[in-house]
Amino acid sequence: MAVSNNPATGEVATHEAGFEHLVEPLMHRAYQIAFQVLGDREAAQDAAQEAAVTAWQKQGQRREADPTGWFLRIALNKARAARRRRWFSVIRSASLPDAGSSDPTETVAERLDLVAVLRRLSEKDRITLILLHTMDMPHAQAATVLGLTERGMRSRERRALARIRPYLEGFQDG
Amino acid sequence: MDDRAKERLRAALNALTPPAHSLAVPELADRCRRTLDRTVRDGFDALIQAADTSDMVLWVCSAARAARAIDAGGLEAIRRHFAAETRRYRPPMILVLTHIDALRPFNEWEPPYDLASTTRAKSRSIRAAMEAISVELGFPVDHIVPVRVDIAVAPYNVDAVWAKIIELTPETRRARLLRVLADIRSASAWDALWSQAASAGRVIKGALLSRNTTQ
Repeated sequence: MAVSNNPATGEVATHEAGFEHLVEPLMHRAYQIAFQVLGDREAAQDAAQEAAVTAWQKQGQRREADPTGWFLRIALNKARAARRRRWFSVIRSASLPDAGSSDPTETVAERLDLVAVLRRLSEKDRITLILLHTMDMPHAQAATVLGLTERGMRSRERRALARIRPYLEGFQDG
Repeated sequence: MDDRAKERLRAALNALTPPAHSLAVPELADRCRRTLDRTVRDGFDALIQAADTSDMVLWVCSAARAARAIDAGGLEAIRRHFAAETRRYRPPMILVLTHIDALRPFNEWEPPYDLASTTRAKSRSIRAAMEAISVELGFPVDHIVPVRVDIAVAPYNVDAVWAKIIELTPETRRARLLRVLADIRSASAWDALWSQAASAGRVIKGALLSRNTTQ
C-alpha cells in the first residue's frame, strides 16, 4: 500500500490499490498470533482472513506509517472475539497443539519441558514472547499489538522470562 | 539471557506456533481478495441485487468453520435493504448448514440423527451448532437445515432442504407477487412520465408555433 502523510490534516492517507501488498506479508504472523489464542489452524486462518477484511474497512483510520502492529492487533482482537463466540465452543479443538520442533540438536525431553512451561503461561505472556523472540519485533511495535505502552511491554517480557527462567537456566547448566 | 538460552527459547516458541509451510499465504491472501472483491468493497451490492430478484434465499454455511463476519455482514445488508423497502416483502431465507459430519465426535458418522434426542454426542453437537449459528446469524432454528452434501461419500438430509423449500413456498409466492407488483408500479410510473413529457412537448411546440404565426 502506498502511504503518504497529509500535511494539512496530519493524517496518513492510504491508497486502495496496494492494500493486498500491505497485508499479504503480515498474514502468516496474524495467523500465528490467532493460533495462540484459538489453538486451531482453520479457526486461526479464519481469524486472519477476518482481520484482513476489517483492516481493509478501517484502513482510513490507520495513523501509523508501518501497518505491522496495527494489523496484528486487529488479528489478535479477531481471534479473541472468535473464541468468545458461542460457535467456537461447538467446533473448537481440545487444546493448543504442538506444532513441531525445528532444532535437531536439543533433546526432545528438554524441548518438551520448556514447551510445556510456555504452554502454561498466560496467553498475553506467551504472545509477548512470540512477538519479541520469534517475530523479532521491536518493543514499541509489539506493545501496539497488545495494547500496552512500551514500558508495559518491557515489564511484561521481564515477568514472562522470570517465569520460565528455571527451565532456561536448567538448559544452560545441562 | 545468553545466546544459547535465546536459541532454546526461540526453538520452544517455534514448537508452539504452526510452521510457515502449514499456511498457504498466497491462497489465504487470494481468499481475502475474493471476499473483498465480491462482498465488502461493493457494500454487498451484488448480493443485495441477487436477493432483490429472488423468490427465496438459501444461505449455505459450513459447520466446520467459525468465521462468520462476512456471513453476518451479508445477511445484515439483505435485511437492511428489505427493511428500507416498505413495499417489498423479504424472500424467505433458509440456512443450509453443511459439513455436519466434521462436528465432534469427529470419527462418528452413523446417521440418521434425531436432533431432539440428547443421548448421542453427534446429535448434541449438531443441535448445539444449529443453536449457535441461529444466534450469530439471526435465523430461527427451524429455518436451519443441517446437511452433509458430500455426494461422493454419503449425502445426508438433503431431502430436508427440499421439504423446507416446499414448506416456505407460500411465502415465496407472496414475495414474488409483491416484487412483480412493485415492478409493474415502477413501469407504470415510467409510462406516466413519458406520456407527461410527450404532452409537455406538444404544448411547447404548440406555443412556439402560435408565437411564430402571431409575429
